Amino acid sequence: MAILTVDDSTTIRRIVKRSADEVGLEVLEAADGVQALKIVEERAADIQLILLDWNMPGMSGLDVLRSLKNNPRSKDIVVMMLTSEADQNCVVEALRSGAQNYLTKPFDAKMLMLKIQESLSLARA
Amino acid sequence: MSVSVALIDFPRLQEQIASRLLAEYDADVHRVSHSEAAARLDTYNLALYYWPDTANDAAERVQRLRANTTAPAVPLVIVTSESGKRIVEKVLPPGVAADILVTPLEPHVVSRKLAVLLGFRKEPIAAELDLHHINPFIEATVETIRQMAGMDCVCTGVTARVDGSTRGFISGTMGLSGSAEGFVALTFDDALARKIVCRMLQVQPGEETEDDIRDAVGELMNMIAGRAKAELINTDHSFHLSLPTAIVGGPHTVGKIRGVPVVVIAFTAGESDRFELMVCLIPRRK
Repeated sequence: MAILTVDDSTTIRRIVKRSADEVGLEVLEAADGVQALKIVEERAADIQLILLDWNMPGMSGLDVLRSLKNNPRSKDIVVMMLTSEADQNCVVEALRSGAQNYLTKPFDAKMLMLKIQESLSLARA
Repeated sequence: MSVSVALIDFPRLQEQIASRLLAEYDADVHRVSHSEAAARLDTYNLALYYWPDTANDAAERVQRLRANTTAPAVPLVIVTSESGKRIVEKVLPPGVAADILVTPLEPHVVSRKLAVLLGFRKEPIAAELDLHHINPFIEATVETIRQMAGMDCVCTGVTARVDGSTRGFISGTMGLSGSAEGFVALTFDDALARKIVCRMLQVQPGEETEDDIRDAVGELMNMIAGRAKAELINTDHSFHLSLPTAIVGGPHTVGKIRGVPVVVIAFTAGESDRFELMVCLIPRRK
């Protein structure tokens, strides 16, 4: 099983990868929304959790989220937003659009780990 | 409208030269001691501090001056010798001084710099430099560095510049638009940027690449702006996030909005590492 981290920052993808390694999951990486949707199209059955940034070049994270949730192949994959967008309107908009979890940057490693585990238990429920 | 300029701890000869140069700006010049200046720095439009290159306590005296004032935006310019300048650059935290003038004072250099500083200060201070929107950026910076790099940092001062020029090596910067517009920039010297990136990525010193540094500094800027944005929502200073970029190589200028001061927030991280955040954000005219 795998986690897909979607973020234009390599720093964030590496930090996520380090946490995901600790739970023994394969980590797939995408630097933008188009790349993410392509990976999901090819590997939907393997992906348990998607960590999704909001502000990226090209498609926004919210557009990616809506696309994922409108696609029968990916609508059941758990999505956690991992973003600098910290205001409540954004949180509400993401949750209404189908995200199951939301973590704002900055975050510490323990909180990221906790949120990943929480999201994975949602995926397994 | 004449402007009021303090010449702090100036020897008589330097005072005469500075006064002559300031005369062309119709400046009301006051030669004052350190203690006199500390008591009423906020009554001046500009303060020039004479830094003798032999004074061991000059850095402490300048910072005390800045700490005492209720108007952190009064530009403070250091006047010193070439060797004094090297000491100032080494010991004075970024952002404490708006500029450094080297003796012997060259009229064309001094005139050019004073024109910028005094032109900037001729505008009404309160309207020009509203600092209420700055606290969210300070809190966001402290929290971001603590969470992402595990380093405690403290704000050591707030000053103003006429543009986003910096002596730092790398800046993560972001344009802002919305109810307010402008830019923000987070600037580190090379050594501190590397230290923070190594801590974020949990790699050994020397394993970090130039791309790692550019990306991480941009991402830190993104996080700080995001957190401040949430605090400023529904105010005149609300803005949307854009994508961060990094500028490498110093000194450099990250941006400028004509007539709008850049607020420079100086920080110390860990034991003595210094860095700064520049915020230039002005509400759109309605």
